[in-house]
Amino acid sequence: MTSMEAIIFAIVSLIAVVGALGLVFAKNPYHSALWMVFSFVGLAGLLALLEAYFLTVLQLIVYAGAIVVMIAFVMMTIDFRKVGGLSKFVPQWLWGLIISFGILIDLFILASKMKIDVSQSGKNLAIAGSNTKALGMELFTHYLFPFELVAIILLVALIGVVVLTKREIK
Amino acid sequence: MENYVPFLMVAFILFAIGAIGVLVRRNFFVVLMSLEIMINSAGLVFVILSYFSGTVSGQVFFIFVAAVAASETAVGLAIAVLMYRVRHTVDVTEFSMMKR
Amino acid sequence: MEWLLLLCVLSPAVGCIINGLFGRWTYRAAGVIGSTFLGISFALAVPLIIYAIQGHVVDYSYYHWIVSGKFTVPFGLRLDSLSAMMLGVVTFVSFMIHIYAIGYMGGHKGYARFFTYLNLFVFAMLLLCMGNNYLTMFIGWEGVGFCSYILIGYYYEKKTAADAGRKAFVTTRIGDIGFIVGVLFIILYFGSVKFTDVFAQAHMISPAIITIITLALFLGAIGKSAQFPLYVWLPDAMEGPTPVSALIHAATMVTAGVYMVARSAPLYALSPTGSLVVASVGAFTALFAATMALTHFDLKRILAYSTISQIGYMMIGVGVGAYWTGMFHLMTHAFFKALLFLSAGAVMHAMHGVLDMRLMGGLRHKMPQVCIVMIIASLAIAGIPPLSGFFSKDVILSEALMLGHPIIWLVGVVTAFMTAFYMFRMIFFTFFGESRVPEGMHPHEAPSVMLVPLWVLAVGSIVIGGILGVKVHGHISIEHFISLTSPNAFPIVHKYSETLLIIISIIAGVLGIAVAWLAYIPKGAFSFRSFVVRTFHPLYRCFFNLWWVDEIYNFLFCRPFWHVSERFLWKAVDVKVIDAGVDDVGRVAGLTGRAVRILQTGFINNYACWVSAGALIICGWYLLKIM
Repeated sequence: MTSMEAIIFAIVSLIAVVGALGLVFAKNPYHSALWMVFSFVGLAGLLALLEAYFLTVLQLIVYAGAIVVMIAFVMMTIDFRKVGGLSKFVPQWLWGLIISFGILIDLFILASKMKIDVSQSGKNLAIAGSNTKALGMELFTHYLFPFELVAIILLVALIGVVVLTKREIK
Repeated sequence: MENYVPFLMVAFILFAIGAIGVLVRRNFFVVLMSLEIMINSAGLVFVILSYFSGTVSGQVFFIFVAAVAASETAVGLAIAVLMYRVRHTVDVTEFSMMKR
Repeated sequence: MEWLLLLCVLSPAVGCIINGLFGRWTYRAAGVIGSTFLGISFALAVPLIIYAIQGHVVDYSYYHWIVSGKFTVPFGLRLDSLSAMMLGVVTFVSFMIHIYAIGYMGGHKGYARFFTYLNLFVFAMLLLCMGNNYLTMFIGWEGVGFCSYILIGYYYEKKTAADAGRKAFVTTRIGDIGFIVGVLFIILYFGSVKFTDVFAQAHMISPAIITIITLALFLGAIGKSAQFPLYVWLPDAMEGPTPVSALIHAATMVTAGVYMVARSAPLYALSPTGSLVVASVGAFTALFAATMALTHFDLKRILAYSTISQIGYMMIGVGVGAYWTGMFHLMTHAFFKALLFLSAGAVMHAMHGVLDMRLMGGLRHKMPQVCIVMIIASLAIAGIPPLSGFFSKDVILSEALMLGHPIIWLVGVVTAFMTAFYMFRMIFFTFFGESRVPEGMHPHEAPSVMLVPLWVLAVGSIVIGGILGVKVHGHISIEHFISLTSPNAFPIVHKYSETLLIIISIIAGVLGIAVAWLAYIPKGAFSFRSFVVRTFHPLYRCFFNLWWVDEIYNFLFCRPFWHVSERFLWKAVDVKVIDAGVDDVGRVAGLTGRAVRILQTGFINNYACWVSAGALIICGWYLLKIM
């Protein structure tokens, strides 16, 4: 890792982690949404550092753009002043914290124990200089069937959402 | 670049922060957004391992993860709206209908 | 031919299934359906029997039922002269009894159920007779035992009937253990259960082992054929409907033991000790049961003791090694004993269920046809020529004597005298003398659906012995026929004049009838009887109380068993251990539920916490393992 890459890595990962922390601990849910955008931008930087350029753009457009907008839009239909009196944390927040730290420790142990073959590191990620082309080739040759499956999952989710929200509540 | 551990550390820290958000927050929308963070960190691990092992498959899986996450968000939001209409709240501690 | 045989055996099973499954709808037609399938079976049996008479043997394994290494158990049937005879007897007699039962059981509760059981019984009996190996025979053996149990307990609402069924089941089970042990020994030493394999190897096995096998198998026969000391269930079995008594407890099932011994003839022929035990038990049972029949007043129980006694005769026949005599007597007995039971049933039918002979008398005017057939059957069983019983009983006795068993012969002759006496005592008591019928009871002649089978069986009782048992050109046809399969085992040691033996047995029979006449018909009969009773008072009491065998068994086996059951098994083991254990299991489950219920808060973030904690623990466990 060159020093330049290290600096960029430090900046983007800081952005991602701070954004995530801001999301979790912000009082106002709208602020949480904004912190999420912040975090996702950092995450996109990490993806760019890993030479996944197509996914960088995807991350920015779909997550930082579309999904955040969708969540914010739905939140606007709800009047939070009426909901009122909503304290931030559940009564058993301490347990949640402990379990999460446990998971973190688990994962750190895993990261330190994990051994992968890095001889091919950074190779094969692009065809003729294009990451998008390599990704497309992989997606539409080896993973065509899962790809169609995911399309169906999206369709089912779409129908499900319509059915859920259109139902009359008595 | 041959040292993958810092990348994994970042992904895991994001995952743990997301888990904290899911487990401790009351607001259902914040819980949903924390879930997004968790799912994204999982996708990030795919991409990290894709880079360091030199295959593009991991990136394909990021696409799948993103698609499933989008579906999940959409359904989660629909449930949130429904709960708001029924109970007039988005507090997860009020969603205890499963008990009865 | 083998498929015809299979069809013949399966036909009653089809009837059973139809009546069993659709009995609710076949209600009135159940009897006709049951009889029809029996008729089919009988019709198919006729060509098979003719085929066997021509000297052919069918031995066919339809499929392999158990395969374990080299040891296989086929499901197969065997038609040879021995089983052909049983096939004829079983299908014909049960066909007749089915027809009779249409009339007899009419209007009873569970009409279809009755025919279901009866068809099932015939199926099991055919399986027993026609199986080509010991295990197929054993299926039939247990099948008939089970049918016997459910049919004795047919009036299950009556406690005595239910008890009698249980008694029959438990008692025969003791014998069945012997049969199982015998079959296991056969598997151990022969490596096969097929009759052909076993008999071909029999001479290579040490005689001691053969003796053990024969004795174990004979224990099964003792239970099934109601020999001493396991005969006690048969008199109680008379609680069942009369057609059942006639079919199962007289004509077919109880003779299964005799058939089994005759079927295992090659084994018994190698074990003189085993054969002697068979003959001795048979002889003792014949005499013992006859004494108990002398003083009884219950119509059907007299016949039950007489059945035990007659099976004792058959056991003498197969025990002395002259297998054809036992089988011959089995056949004639099936006819006249079925006839006797069915006539007794007709009387009982007419008397609205009364069986006590002290309430009868003078019935010959009310039901002349039944009276005549019953006299025919009694003459047959008493051994009066030329009726069938004479031929078969006479050959048993003469063979016993000629094969060197004079004591058994003597016992047989005395028993023949007693048989004639108690049968005619029964006839005189029931049909002659003053009428002792209670007021308001109007005995009537049986309906024709019952009379026709009676007459058919009566004709059979008269002629069957003469047709098969008369010596023509120096050999007897039934002897020749059975000896194809089970030839005589032992050589003749003494030669006696056959004419003399015949005269002795006729005298015994006639004397018995004469004494019965003397004791019950003339004017001074009552004083004669009381004189006899006073003279032989201790003996009379023994007879009248059936030698207290039931009481002895009660004291020796049942009472200790009850005490152990009540004091130990119930009050200690059941209440303190089993019940308490069950209660504790329930209590533990309840407490666990109460504890676990706290976890069911209904809050989704609680559930999320549990899920995460679970994931944490599982991942942690695996990480600890790789560390």
